[in-house]
Amino acid sequence: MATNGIFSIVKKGTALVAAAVLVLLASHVALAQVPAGMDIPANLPKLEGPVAITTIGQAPGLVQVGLLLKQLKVDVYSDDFLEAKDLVGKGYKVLILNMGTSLKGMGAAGVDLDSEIARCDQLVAEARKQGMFIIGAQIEGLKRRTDEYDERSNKAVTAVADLLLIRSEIDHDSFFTNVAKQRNIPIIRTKEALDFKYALGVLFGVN
Amino acid sequence: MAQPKRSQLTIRLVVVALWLALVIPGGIQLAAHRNYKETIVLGPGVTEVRKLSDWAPYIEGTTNDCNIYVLDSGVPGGTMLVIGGTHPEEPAGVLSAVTIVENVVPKVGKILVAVRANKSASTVTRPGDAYPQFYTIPTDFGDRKFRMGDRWSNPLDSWPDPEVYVHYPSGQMLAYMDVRNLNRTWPGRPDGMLTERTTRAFIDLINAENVDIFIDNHEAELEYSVISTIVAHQDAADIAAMASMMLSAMEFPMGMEYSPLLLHGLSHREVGDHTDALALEIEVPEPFLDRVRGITDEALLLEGKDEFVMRAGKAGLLYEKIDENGWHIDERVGRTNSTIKMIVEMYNEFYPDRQIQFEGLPTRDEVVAYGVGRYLLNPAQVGANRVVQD
Repeated sequence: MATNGIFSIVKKGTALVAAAVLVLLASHVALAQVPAGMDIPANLPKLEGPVAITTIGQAPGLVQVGLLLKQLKVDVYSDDFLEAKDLVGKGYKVLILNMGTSLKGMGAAGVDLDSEIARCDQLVAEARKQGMFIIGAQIEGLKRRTDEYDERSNKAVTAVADLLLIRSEIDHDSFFTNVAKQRNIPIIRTKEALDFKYALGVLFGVN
Repeated sequence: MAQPKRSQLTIRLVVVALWLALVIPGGIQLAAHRNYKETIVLGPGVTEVRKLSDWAPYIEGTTNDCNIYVLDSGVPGGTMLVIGGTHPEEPAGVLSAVTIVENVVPKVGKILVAVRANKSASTVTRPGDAYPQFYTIPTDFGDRKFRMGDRWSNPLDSWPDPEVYVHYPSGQMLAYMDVRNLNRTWPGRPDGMLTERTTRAFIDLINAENVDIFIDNHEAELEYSVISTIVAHQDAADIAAMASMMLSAMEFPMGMEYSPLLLHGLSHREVGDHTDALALEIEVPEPFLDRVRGITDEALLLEGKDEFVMRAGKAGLLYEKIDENGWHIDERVGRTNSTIKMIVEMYNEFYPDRQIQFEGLPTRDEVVAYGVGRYLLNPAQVGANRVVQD
């Protein structure tokens, strides 16, 4: 009996150790999925497509965000010159406004930052009418935080977004963190552009 | 008519002698540069060397009838054209093209390379800006010497410039000298000025060879915002976006820019608009091109170190970082090569039916570790039929 008792204790102990190892492994795997340097806040909404995405300043980061959404099988429509009327009757649930400017791109595209910000305001007004969720995204990092044009694009978008998804490196002065705090909206920071895929996967529940 | 006095004649003779003493050595140097033949060694992947005029007879007999190196795997697939030397004052683009010719072995599809896309621009520099005429790359077997050049074709080959350059066919007005700028004359015309004829010849080549992907190698000053980036025609934006993200995560920061829709004459705009090829341009940093630079010499061209450019960086005036390590030619060639490789990998993901596969292209870590000279072949160790001049 004593031997049986010992075996029983050992078995229970082994089972507990095995369970603990499994829990540790599972948590390790779960943790390993979160890319290094990414902050995932607790109060994130659960989003669903389809998604409309545009750029406020003609920076090409929307192509990168759009490609990552496509890889996640989220229905997405990208348009550099998306207008308010394009949001009508399409059933879009989310609007992504990509921050940052391209001086060469804007001038050669026949637009300027004033017209881009006016387009942003009209898009936001229509998105609000339709109950869309608005994400302010900055995927290109420091390359799009170099001058007053970038700052105006950042300010225009961060002032209206419901969530900020940015590269950590552009928050060196805590501008984005402070806006998120003041407006009480969640902010996700990633180290690399590719890490946006994980963050978008969390937001759209497709990781 | 009164005869000049003896003393006046002596003065005149002295002045003429002094003038000749200045002009003759200078002229000899200019002629030596213009006529210098660069040696290119055909690597194991080169199957044929053709001339640009093979596709465009109207360029035959001109300075810009450059070599086109063909690396054909013999296995059906896609075709890529890489051009170096659009702006010969940007040597990383030239040397990147040379490393392709001398190292790459194609496995699927075909690769076409022009090392000197604007050969005329490589026969002139800017003496007034103290440009060196040549640069040399050290190798285990001695130095390999290359022509430094200018941004514009040699006026000896294309003259006179118009008062205003009206781009064909858009009608856009550009600076007069840009009629000699290979990156302002696309898509060109067969009866235009030399540089316009050259770009038209490349368009004819691209169409005749059904080129799938076109890459134009460049360097940029750190004062310019389009730097450390891939500029992509809208049809190639997906490839550039993925290549940018992959390179930035795995090797070094590399951005992307749209090819401006309304700015005409640039390769990434016009090749994309006038052919079926996906058009991209690569820009890596070259402090030599910055206007605030100090001593302008071969060391600056190759090592990319300059205290005045560094000061401009500290003052927040630059679009790319620079420190006391500068931007060495190895770093610049390596980044160009890594970017080409990543672009092709992404192209293969998006277009699996027209694959381009190759081996042997030295990427950034390898070129930085061993130096670009490691990837230049010794002409003395190959047969005479594997050495050409460009």
